[in-house]
Amino acid sequence: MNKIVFSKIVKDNKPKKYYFKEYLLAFLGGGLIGLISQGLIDLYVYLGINEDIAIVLTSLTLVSVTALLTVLSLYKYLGQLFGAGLFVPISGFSNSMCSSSIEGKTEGYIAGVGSRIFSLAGSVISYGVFFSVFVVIIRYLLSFFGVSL
Amino acid sequence: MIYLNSFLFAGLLCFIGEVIYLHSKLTPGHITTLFVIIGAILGGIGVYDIIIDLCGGGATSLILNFGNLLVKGGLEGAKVNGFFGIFQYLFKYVSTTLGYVIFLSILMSLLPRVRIIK
Repeated sequence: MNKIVFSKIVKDNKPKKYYFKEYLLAFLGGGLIGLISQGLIDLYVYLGINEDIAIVLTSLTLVSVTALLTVLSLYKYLGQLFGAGLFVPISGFSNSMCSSSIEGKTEGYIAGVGSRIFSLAGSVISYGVFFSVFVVIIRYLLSFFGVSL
Repeated sequence: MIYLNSFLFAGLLCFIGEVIYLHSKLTPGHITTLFVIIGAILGGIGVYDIIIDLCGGGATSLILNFGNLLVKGGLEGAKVNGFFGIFQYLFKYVSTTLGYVIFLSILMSLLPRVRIIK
């Protein structure tokens, strides 16, 4: 039996895996966070806060809830259940910083907490800044050719 | 209507993230970095502000908005002070969330760890 026939038999007999449940849970988890944050924005505006500040306050609320769930060791289970539904919103950013600072506690406050705090979220900040500056410089150079900033 | 839009937009982006996560070897760190870069590009061509007007909280609570806000601050600085102003104003809109998250993470590491579910 040569290798090609063998790999074809392996491919045919492999159990086919469908991920409908994971897709649905990620969609629902992300959608619910979007729905909750729109509700919070409307609540803060109703309480008489300026809309620009209400948007920032909403993300601060999400970040606080996530940090609290992380320190209570509950976020792990929610994260396994919803998958990408919880790490694409801002809660994933907060969770990665909180969990790495808590894990670093065993190595002391300077070498552990202070330097490990950005070990997962650091790539988001560094590449975010790099590509943003890149995009802004392109817009700035285009502004000399008549494209408004 | 804005509630339906925010549910659909946030759900769709998380669905795309889940598809990338399950069908490739990328970790959540890779996917969030990719989404921040996409957000910066969408902010640079001015599409993300239109999405925020349409989808409200669904668009502002995603990690894409981090890249969008960095570009927004940088563009505002470029208008005020030219090339030097880009770096001066870059963190103007993200510094509230970023500073709060750093403060909160260190505060949480001072607390003892509690386990509710064993």
